[in-house]
Amino acid sequence: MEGQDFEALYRAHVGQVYGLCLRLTGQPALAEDCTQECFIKAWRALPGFEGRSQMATWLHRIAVNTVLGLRRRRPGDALRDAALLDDAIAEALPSGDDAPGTLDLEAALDRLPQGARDVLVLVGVYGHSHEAAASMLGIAVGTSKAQLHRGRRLLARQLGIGMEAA
Amino acid sequence: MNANTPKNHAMRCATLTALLLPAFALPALAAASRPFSAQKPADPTGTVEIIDVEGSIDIAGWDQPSVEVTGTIGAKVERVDVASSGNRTTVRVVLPRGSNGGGDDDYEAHLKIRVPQKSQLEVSLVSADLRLAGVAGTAHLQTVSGEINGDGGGGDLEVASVSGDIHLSARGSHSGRFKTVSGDLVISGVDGDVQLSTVSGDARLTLGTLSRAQLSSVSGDVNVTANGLAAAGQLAADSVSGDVGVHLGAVPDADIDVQAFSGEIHNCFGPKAVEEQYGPGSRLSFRSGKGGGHIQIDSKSGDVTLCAGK
Amino acid sequence: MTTPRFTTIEDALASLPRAVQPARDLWPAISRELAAPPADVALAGGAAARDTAPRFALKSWPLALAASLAVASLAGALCWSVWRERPAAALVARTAPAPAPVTARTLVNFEPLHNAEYVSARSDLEQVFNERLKLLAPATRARIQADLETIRKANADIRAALGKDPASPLLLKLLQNTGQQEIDLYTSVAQTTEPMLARRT
Repeated sequence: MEGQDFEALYRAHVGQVYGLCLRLTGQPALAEDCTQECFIKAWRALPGFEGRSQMATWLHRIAVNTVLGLRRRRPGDALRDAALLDDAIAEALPSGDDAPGTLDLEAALDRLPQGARDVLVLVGVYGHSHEAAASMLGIAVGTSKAQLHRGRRLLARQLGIGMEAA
Repeated sequence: MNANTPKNHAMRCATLTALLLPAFALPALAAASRPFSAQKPADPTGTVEIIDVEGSIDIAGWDQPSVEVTGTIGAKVERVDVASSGNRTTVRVVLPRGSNGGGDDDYEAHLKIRVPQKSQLEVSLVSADLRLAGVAGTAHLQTVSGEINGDGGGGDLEVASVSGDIHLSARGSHSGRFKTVSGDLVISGVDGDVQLSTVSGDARLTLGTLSRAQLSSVSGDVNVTANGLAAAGQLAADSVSGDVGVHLGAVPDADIDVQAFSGEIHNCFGPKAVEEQYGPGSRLSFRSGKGGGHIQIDSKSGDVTLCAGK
Repeated sequence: MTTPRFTTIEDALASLPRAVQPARDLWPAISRELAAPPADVALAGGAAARDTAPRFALKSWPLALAASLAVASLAGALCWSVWRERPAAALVARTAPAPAPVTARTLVNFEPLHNAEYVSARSDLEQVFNERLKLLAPATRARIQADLETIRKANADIRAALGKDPASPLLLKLLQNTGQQEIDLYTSVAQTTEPMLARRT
């Protein structure tokens, strides 16, 4: 793999990786560190990537791993910055989007307890299965499902949206 | 054992130079090509190396322990060195220093070369055409734009061309590695291990039982017809825009995985290809027979055809 | 609270943008880090990292060959046909002038162990290729240049497709193959034009 091709890979995936890091850490600066570390790890892990699974899934796995590592190393950085998070996400929205509604949702997501938010982001936003999310987060599948249920309930209450039949 | 001492070599050079001098001294006269012949004892299972820029080379195996070179060389060919050292014999067509061939026949060498039938061959040509037959040892052949025709004699083949076409019969051969840039490739008979790389040249392979096949193309079409895939055999093919066709005589016992980004997948056995869940493209993924082998075909915009059985 | 746009939480979450661009381009910092000397590899995980970092599990056989050869043997890294026993380095020594400065066009390989040698050898190989092209008949030269264009265009097409469909390991693998095809082309021309080099008598 040439460096130029890895740059292409970076450009193709950085949005999703940063988006994931951002929602999981709640801080743009930390999310940048997370993104950088994720791609550096990805380059080094590339020999082990067989290429038959989705590249995005593989990168998400590395990103989540990186976030967990950051959380362990910097427990004091638990302070999420809602305003900065708002700005970062707002930049990402296509013009014409119902920005207030989406930002309300992001803000509500941000206010959730960490465990529930982690699962809602991976399963609800990024479309991973419970099996994949549980594996990435290092929790049991049952825990993942419970966290999802809890998170949905909390969000629904905040946003006045009906719950999907469980 | 080596008759080609520096002294003999120098004498031969002097003689040739003397013969050639009139041609250089009187450029206005049309210089004629001249006959050439040489013979050297050679190891019956040794290596014969042949180097030529232009003209044509015709290699045939025989049952003599020697290398015999006969033919004609153009007026501007400086000389043909035929030398043996240990178990290696070299036939090299030498052009004057500073010249690289001029596209006219004065630089051509047309040689028939007989080599011991079990020789290994190492042939390097630029625009000279090559004909090959009856040599059973491993053959390494490379050319820029010359054509390569004939049969590989049953030995392993390693052939590289830039734009020259390659037509070879490789019956009895268990290993073939073929590389072309824009030359077309028509190969038949390899039974076992095949590797192919092409940029825009089209390739048509008619093979025996594949134990390992690795096929790579950018825009050239690749068509493989084979008796079948060996147990635990592996076939991997990838193409950017060239079409890929694989036709096996028998339904393989293999896990099959075909992906096409925008090309179409046509298969004559197994389930239908399905559209990818995330993003464009279609995929055909199933176990054929008992599995054990592996067939993997990846294409961007080339169409993929996979058929097996009568 | 604004009027809810969605009827279910699932719809709401699924509508959120998955991709969010960072405020600044992170690539320069990443590429600097990756081009750094092997010390990082050792720190990143000791023996295990050292084992996996230098090797690439590439399907294309020429580099599979390279994986097992020593760093010093550029022949393995760059040449398709090792049997010729004429490493690219030797070819270069014979014909190339002083190595050209690394230009933006030159691909950089982040392979920690091969970094400097690879960059230099790749640039030299391109130079040898260009020199040898001049030796060939115009028609042959034109065909080779057309094929180089084919490879580069295929490379560009794949990158463009990757931009629209980032989650495609298929495209990634094909991109890798076109990179290899370009090197193979240079090597083929360099090796096959050897008979044309002026010989010492």
